[in-house]
Amino acid sequence: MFASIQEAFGSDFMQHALLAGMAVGALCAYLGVYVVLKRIVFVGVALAEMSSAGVALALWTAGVLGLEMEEHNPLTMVGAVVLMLVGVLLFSVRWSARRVPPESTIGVGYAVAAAAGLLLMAHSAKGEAHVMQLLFGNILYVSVREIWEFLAAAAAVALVHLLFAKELLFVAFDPQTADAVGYRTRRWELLFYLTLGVTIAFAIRVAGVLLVFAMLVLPPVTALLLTRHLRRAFPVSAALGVLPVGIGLYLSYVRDVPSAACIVIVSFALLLAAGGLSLLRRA
Amino acid sequence: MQQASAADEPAAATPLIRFEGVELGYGRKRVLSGLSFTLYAGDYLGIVGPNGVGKTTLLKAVLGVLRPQAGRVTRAPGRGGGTLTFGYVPQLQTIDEIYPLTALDVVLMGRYRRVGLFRRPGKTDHARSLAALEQVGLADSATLLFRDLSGGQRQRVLMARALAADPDILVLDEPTNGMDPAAERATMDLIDRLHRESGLTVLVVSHLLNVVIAHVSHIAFLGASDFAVLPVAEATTPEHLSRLYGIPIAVGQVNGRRVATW
Repeated sequence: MFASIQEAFGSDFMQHALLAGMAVGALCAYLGVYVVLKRIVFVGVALAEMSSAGVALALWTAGVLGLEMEEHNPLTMVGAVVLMLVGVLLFSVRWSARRVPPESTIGVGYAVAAAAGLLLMAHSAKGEAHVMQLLFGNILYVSVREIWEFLAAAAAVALVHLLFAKELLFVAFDPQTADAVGYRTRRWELLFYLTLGVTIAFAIRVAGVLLVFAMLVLPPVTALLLTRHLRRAFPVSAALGVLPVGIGLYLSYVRDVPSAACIVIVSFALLLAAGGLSLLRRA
Repeated sequence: MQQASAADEPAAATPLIRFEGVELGYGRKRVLSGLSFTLYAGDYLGIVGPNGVGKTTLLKAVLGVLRPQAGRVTRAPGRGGGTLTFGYVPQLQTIDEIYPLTALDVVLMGRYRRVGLFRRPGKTDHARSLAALEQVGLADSATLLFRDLSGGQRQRVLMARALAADPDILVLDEPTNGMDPAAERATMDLIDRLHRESGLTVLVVSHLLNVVIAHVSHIAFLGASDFAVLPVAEATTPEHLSRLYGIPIAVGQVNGRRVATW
């Protein structure tokens, strides 16, 4: 019934999945602290959806041009990044801000991207399977090259955040004052969205929309319940992005259930535990 | 149009910011025009106007965030030789409570410009931040969470953040909004003290006439036909105020403070 850990993680693909998942989990959970505090959670899911629509678009274009392209082809990365950039730009412009709240652009982006992805894949040979994979995670099919690509992107994002942590924090916490004292707040905001977008675009290929989005939200919320200071929330969140991956993959192996979903549920269990602790502390 | 200098003292004060015929707006929308005035070092200037008249627009132009659509804004160099350093105190309501930052964390942000890119705040920055908290009477609250403090305390933390930057000019945007008399008194007394003891140049923007006229030394009204900086005694005669607002306004002294009623 319960396999040993050695048995569960004995195979190549499980080890790759573990590595990929932990990397994605750590980085998304870190950035997720900003996403949650800046109240842009919905933007996270919209960007994830647009990136996967970008992958679908790349595959469809290949099909139209008569090229043979399977989904691990690096050109899908181009699609994901391009659509991610489109998303970042769209969401940062205040379209008709007086008549329609800016948030609606995000909803429009999400819905259209999701639908477009489905339509683009409707007639492809692998069609629905593709879409399922994009949505719910293909972490078990991740290739070594894709892991390296994500790690490279993650390194760049991590470097930006390491160098500019204080500026990014200031601009997030109090953009008005940041502006007033001379920061080019718009540019710093854009930089943040780029790091978020790049992370999402590379991560969804490795882990799928569901897992990426979940890691942007659940670990940060848990961390904010567990810690009192922002300084600690970041590393705690990252750790909470890593922990459920191992447990979730193990459980998914043992129970033969979808891995991304398992990881998300484990993450949620941690959230409930943290919530319970938080309530107890107050009592 | 009158031009007033800060100098009740014989020595001429240094002009820090000069507006000449400035017009401000966004795109095709013109918000303010005909702005000509000078802010001198050591001034304690209040700008009064109702909501929506353009106080934020004027502030942005003073801070250099908004370029004039016409006219000219000239600035003196800051004390360090570079550009003028502003200590900006935003409206309390614009701060998001959700960030779990301590009072010291918030004040430290005031040092970031001085720390510069690629570097982290050091011992001097921490010391200066703690000193700023002491200046506002909150040294003991340094490690408390910003969101756990009262409204008046939070306002003071934001002031400490502005002071930590060692600013040339302290700018406060509606510093007493939503406050009860005790908190309002404490806040304005603190600003008075900072101006008096450090000779800091202070610019307060508010829609609350009585709060401003009881403390500043010079005042200008936004939304009036002509924008002019005047000594507060001159600007707050019943005749001037009644003409300005279009209703009869009486001005008196209560407990040594200037009070207007309408």
